[in-house]
Amino acid sequence: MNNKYLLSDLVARLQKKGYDAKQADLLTRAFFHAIEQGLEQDEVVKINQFGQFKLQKVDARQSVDVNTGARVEIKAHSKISFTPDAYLKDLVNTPLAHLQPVALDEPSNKKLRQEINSNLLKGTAAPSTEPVKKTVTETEQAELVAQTSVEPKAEEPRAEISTPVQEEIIVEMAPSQESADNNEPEKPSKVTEMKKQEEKALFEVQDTTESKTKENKKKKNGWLLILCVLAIALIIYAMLAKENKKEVLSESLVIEQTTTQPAAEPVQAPQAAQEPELDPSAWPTLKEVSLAKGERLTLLALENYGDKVFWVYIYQANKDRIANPNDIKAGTRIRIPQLPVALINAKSADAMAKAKALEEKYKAEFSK
Amino acid sequence: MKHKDFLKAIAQESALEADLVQRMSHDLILSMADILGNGDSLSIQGFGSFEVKKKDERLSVHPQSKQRVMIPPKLVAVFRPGSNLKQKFKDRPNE
Repeated sequence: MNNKYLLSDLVARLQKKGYDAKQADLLTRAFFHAIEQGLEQDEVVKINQFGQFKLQKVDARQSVDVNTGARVEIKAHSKISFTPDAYLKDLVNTPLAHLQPVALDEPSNKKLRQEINSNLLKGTAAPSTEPVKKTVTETEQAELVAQTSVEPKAEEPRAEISTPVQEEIIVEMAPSQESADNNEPEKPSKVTEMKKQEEKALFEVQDTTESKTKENKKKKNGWLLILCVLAIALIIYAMLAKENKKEVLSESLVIEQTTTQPAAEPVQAPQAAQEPELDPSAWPTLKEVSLAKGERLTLLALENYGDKVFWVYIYQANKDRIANPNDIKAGTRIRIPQLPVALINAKSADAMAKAKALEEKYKAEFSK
Repeated sequence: MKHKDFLKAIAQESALEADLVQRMSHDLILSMADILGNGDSLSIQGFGSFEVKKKDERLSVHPQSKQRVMIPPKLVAVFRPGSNLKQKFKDRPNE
């Protein structure tokens, strides 16, 4: 392969075939001169079993001088083209002659097409085109929130069952979920657009295989998340069940609204009946403090009421913000309620007893 | 210019007999084709060079039926004109 032959070699070959050296040389030179002449005269020279030399016209065009950047006009001219004859074509292609064109089958096409369509939609879905589906039910919303929130968040104080707050969270999550939500509605309208893109995409086989694995990964991730959500739900339900037996108030650590509400209400009712005089919502707020890192409710109680044991009342007043009084996130805003003197009298045995009783209760509740 | 005329031109140029020219030209063409058939290149000074190049396989779509076809790779003979020739026809005005 790839030997470079010269005119002299051609002459040599002619000689081998029995021709006179001088004549062979003469002829060979004349051969190529004649091609030149023929192009000059007729613009086409056809040589049997070899090919056709042709002059092709090229129009004048604007160009730019590479050095100066000035505009330059390339004049109209002709260029020489050569198209091999059938004999020469086949002869040259003999090493690859066994290869035939392959028509790609329909069935496999459809599958590829579908995959490419969905992948293209996911990749090109514009978040701002369609509004968030507000027909999504509350339970679905809750699930969405759960899906996208990671485990650490679950530990955070989450007594906000109120719908406005939930909607806030959902709106935040919306952009990330929108593409998934909008897949179905957008699909029919974009199919025709996608077909063109899909044809391009098919050319790159690598892409389709990549997108396949990506799709599989996404599906797997989705299932994992759902399993996690279910697991968390089960754990919380179990906790609630335990709490119900102990008759302790708990508004927090609930992800699914539907299970929470019926559970919370019966729990709240007995609690209220027990201590009618201790209504945390009736206490006016003395002040609000942001809990620094390392600070504890006991310290706050000491500061404000004169005794650590009265932290229980601070906790009661902030039940909506504190899930677990043993573990409060730094920076949580704590309302320091203005308690009636009767309750926080450090000298009163009765007050102390009450506070201690509450303390015991909470300790038992949260020290699992 | 057809093949016949081409041979006539050679005969005129080389001052050889038509019969001889025909026979020799035929053999010359065959030997050129043979060189290219082996994958080698041929370079003629002042004229140009003949090479063999590989074309990769490609995906093609029938515009009407949308049928996808994989066209296999192939080897093709290619001619690259020499600078003399190019210059000659570059200056030549377009009709």
